[in-house]
Amino acid sequence: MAMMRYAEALNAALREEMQRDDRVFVFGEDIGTYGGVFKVTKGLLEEFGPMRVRDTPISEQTLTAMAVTAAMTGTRPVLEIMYADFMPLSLDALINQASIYEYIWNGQVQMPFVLRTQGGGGAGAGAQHSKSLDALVAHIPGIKVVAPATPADAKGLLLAAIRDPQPVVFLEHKLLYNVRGEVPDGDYVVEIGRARTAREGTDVSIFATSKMVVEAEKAAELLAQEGISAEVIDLRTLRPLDTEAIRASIAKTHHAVVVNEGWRFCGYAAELSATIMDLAFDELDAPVQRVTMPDMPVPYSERLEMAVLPDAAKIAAAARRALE
Amino acid sequence: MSTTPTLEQHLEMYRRMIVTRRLEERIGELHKAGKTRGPIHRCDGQEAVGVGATAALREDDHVTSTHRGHAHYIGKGLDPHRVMAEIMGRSTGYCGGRAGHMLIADATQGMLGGNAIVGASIPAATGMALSFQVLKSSRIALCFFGDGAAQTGICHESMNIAALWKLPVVFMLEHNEYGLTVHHTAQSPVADLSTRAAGYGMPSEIVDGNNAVAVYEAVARAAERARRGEGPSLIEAKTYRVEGFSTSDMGGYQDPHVIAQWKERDPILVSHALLKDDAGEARLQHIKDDAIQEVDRAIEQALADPLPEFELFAPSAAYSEVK
Amino acid sequence: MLIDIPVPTTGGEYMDAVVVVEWHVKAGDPVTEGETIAVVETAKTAIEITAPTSGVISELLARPGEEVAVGATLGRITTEQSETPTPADTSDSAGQAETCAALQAATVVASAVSAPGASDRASTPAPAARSGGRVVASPAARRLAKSTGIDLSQVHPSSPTGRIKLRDLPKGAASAHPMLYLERRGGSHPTPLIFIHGFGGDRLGWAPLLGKLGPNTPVVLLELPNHGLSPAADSHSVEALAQQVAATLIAHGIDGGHVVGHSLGGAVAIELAASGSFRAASLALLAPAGLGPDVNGAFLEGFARAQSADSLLPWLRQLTSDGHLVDRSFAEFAMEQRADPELRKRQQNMGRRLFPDGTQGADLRSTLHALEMPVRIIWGQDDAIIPWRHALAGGWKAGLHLMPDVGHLPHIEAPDQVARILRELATSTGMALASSAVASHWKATPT
Repeated sequence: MAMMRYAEALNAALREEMQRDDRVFVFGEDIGTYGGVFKVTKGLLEEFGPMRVRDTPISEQTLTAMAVTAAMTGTRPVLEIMYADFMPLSLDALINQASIYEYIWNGQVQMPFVLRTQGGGGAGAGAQHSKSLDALVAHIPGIKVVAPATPADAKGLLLAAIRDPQPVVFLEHKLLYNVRGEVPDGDYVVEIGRARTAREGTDVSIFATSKMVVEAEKAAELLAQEGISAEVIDLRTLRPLDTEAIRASIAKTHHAVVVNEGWRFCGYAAELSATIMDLAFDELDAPVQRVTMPDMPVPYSERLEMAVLPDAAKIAAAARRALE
Repeated sequence: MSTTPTLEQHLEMYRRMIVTRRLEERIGELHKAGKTRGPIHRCDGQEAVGVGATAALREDDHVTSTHRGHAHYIGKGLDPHRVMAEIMGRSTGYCGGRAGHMLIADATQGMLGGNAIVGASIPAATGMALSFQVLKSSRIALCFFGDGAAQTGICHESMNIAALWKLPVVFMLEHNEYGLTVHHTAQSPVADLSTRAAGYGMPSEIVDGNNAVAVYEAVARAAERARRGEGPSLIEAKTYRVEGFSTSDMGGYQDPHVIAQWKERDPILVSHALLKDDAGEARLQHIKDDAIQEVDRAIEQALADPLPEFELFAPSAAYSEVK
Repeated sequence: MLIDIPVPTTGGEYMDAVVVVEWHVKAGDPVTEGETIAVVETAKTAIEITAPTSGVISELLARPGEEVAVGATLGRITTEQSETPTPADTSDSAGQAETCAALQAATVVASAVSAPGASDRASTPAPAARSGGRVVASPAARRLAKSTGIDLSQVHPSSPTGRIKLRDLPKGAASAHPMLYLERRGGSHPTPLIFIHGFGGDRLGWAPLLGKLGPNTPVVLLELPNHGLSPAADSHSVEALAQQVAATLIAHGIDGGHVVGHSLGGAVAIELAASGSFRAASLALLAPAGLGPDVNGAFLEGFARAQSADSLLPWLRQLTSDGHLVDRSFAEFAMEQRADPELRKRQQNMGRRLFPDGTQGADLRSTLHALEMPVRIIWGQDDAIIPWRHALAGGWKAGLHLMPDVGHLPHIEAPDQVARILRELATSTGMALASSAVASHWKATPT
């Protein structure tokens, strides 16, 4: 076990996997000499050289398309898209290329690449640098989507993602990079598609990913002081869902709150709500409560930004609404 | 690989062009008889580009293609029966009927593959070349794209990166003068798009796209450069599309005089003229008859092949819901 | 003088009618002005109706469950009496106690307009919110209520949303006997015909017989646990099954009827008739189990484990005389009803418990002999599952109808005859039954 920051855990995963597997290479904007704007790729250029650690021009659309076909022809690319807000540029490569080939070409190819990006608000980065576009990527068939909330999961899921034969979109959060946590030593791999019970409870289940897990845990503390026992499930993988964990939690508590930092309408929380209905309708004692960003841009001024972002207080309020 | 084709190689190109032409013509007939599904993009008149370029490649080189890829498929060595079966949606097609005519792929022959998103073949080939470079392989990627695609952002981005990193890719611009219904003069202020190569620090040349030998030689040279680590090249092959954009094209925007002129320079006729002294009429006729028969048999077979059974495919489904 | 009790409007809410939930008074009751006399419901919440004046209730013009337009009259109060009798003065103390209790149970309006004085009342929860006549309850509460026979319209929700939740259901509801699936046809009647199917069967097997009886015959179709739509249960004895059947019937307000049981259902019928909790007016036993040790164990095993129409068909053929009526589509239909492997497994286990080693586990002869209501035993002479000779152990009180060329399914192979016997049985106890002839809407192929 070692105590380290989330960004360091990601760095460790990249370094270890690049040592283990020659086919892995990383590319993206500012990831080489500078070590990445969040320092996730620090030191990799020195260790592995410019063939395998490449600074790129600003060309997200092409870089993503290149990751798709490079992965198809024998390498394992890890592409960094600096901000999730730039993912719309990647979407053609994800939707019209990566999503279709395994099926359309009848199993002739696989595309084991990882697209790493970070999103989320709360840093005063403004409307074009603060979004969570989980729903856009989770909607695409053939793509796995993960979002670790802890340093341990950051390492474990990144190793799993690089080794996965399918494309994986790896969603980091700008406010999690400096969070510290225990990370197991050695080849620590976390299975994609497996949720984690962050906190056990009996009255209400709160489902969250990424930084919202931190908020959910704070909300659970608030609720505990009112005598409400909240269970917090860190989904860890947005797609494919750990349906058994979801079903089991609701069968226990009969109340559900789903939290996602994306927009509300047609957002990821909406999918989760529908899934919960499919899996556990007859276990529900109240409608599923969604806690999301409202359908609007992220404003800049701190007071405005904090007003729109989901947080512990809003999650706790939703839990109380479910229980009334 | 030599940079000029032998007689046998030229004869094989001649044969493959006829195979492609016959395929296109038969598809046209089937379309008129209401037997095909969805729009199909014929390449009549352009066969020398696809067949000539692929002939200059090694077997393990990779090719990315467009929505108008039949000459690229046949040139790369794909079996006309399985191509036709795929076009007819049969389970015996290269992709089990799942892909259709625009998206055909055969990983065993490096055809990865047709692409219906205009311009997508360009970053696709660039990505493959990146892989070959990282793996220190001597394979190269050949990218077919059209004058329409040359205007896309991804074309610009790809060429910039390819040249910057000296990726082993050959960009083959199949200039057939039209982007869908719009003449190239309404799509770009520049008549010879290959001038842009200079802007990327990449060599370029213009070739007669209706002369298979000229195409072959240009690609062979560019492939050698790529294999030596000197990076990408842009080859602009001037040709012409004689049959309209697709089978659903209403036509009326191409000048019949121009079409007639280009038909006089039909690539099959061009090769015929070049070959007849060395190979003889009889042999050429024999090749042609065989090619036609092969295609007709392939089509007959494809039409008799079964349709595929539906299976739900969910590699990363959220969960399996269909009961 | 007669004073109208009007239906009020609630300020600010679009509403043109209310539904009467309950009256706290009846005609002849004295009331005081301002006293709550009724509760009505809008789309969103409950409202108290208070007496506009002191007097005596002259008449009530709307019944609970009825919808009344805003501005219409709910009832009338007569003010001719000069004094309001106090509860202590009247002789009908029981009635007054009822009214007192009703007044004490008066509702408090959750959030909408409250009538004067209403806020002073001791609050008890509002009756459940209704949505188009349907009680609003969470899916979990609804499911629990259904499986334990609780009537949701009698449950008071504690949530301000008006939605009944799990916590509102009586404690121990979850642990009560799960209710069996029950269907009623042909209208209600104090003594309907109650049909209990046999092992591996379900309610659908009665279709041909019901067709002969006609749509106006009041019938109740039950399904045994682990069969059809009934819940799973670990029932290891005929007695346990009969208890579950009785509990289900009683929960549905059916405390008597003419019981008709086939095969295992016949054994259950005997136990049911013998139990104190249910009043069997008559008993019709179709090839019943429980009258002897013999049973075709191979059939039970083969039937229960079959996973396809192909492997089911040969066993099904044993059910009728000469495999009569059992064809491929019959087998396919039957297999469709048994498509769930979980259900088949539970039935297998149940079969092994009730018929261990191909032997009948229950001996109900003396139970049958002790019954006093009219009993008929109906058996096919070609029955290859349970030998018809078991009927001879039925005792002198039970009439035997022995049918040639009929196998184990007389109700399917000879529905006319069985219908006639049932009619005789019913009318002999004083129940009038319409004659048949109306074809049922069911598919012709039974299970």
